[in-house]
Amino acid sequence: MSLIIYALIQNGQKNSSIKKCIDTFSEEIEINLKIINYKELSAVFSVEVQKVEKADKADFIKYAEIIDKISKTCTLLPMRYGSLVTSYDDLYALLDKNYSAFLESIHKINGKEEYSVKVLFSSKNQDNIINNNLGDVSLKVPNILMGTSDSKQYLLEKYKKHTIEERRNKYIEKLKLSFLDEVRKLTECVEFNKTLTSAFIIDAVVLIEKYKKEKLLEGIDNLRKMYPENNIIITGPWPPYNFVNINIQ
Amino acid sequence: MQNDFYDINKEITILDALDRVLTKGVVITGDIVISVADIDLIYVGLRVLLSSVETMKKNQRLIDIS
Repeated sequence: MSLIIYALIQNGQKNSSIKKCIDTFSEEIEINLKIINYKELSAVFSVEVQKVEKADKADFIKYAEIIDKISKTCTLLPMRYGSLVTSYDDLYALLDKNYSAFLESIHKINGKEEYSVKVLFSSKNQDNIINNNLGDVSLKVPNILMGTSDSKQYLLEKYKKHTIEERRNKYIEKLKLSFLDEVRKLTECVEFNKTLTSAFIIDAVVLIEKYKKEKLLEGIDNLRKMYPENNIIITGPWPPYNFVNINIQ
Repeated sequence: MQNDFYDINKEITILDALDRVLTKGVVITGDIVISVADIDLIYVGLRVLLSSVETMKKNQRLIDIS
């Protein structure tokens, strides 16, 4: 038997509406979601009697969907996929051992939601975009690199690549500052993820109070006006996955 | 307007969701965790992330074309 944990929530006045939501949703997705309470905390989980035989995209999406649905009714700590314990005792032990850390994290994210902001180059010709934004400065080759020998040509190529990279970084830094100017009016909770490909300029997540959503969208629109040459994509609201850095040993 | 926006980015939203459930959130490590069908979840996570990059590139090309 394994207990799949989806989320941790704080007990409170919304208990009955959360329970109702979970019961209704359980019927929709045909997964029997359960809740156990421990002091001020509750864990939402399901019981798998048989060994889980496979893990594929559909499982991951369903897992995310369950967390997303519950997050619509209350503030929660989302668990990472694969959060399994083998007995009820283990689940209670988990809640007991990490009680303070869980509660503290829930208080930190209470009433807030996460948004993802991705800025991508919209054209393959990134150099043109950068030159248009920063000004097209012709490459000034130092005299020491002038010449026709193989070594000079090699060094010249290296120099050109370095200069292009430097200008690219400058552009990214400029855009990042503009982005921060917009979002820091709303929150200090901003994280930058490592960009996966060179098409990305920024891959960021922000945590804001729910009522600030419209302001955030306005800020992103301002950014789009400042950098019309790029694709600026916002997704969300998400449960605050990126702002609950708890690693339970 | 808002609905259109989310529709356009549906694919990216799915990738974002996968990225989150596989690489973010509260993590349990240690003896009480069991792996799913002996598949190393880190491996699964990496595989999804790599496919995410490919889809993102494809999506990027579609945006360029339109």
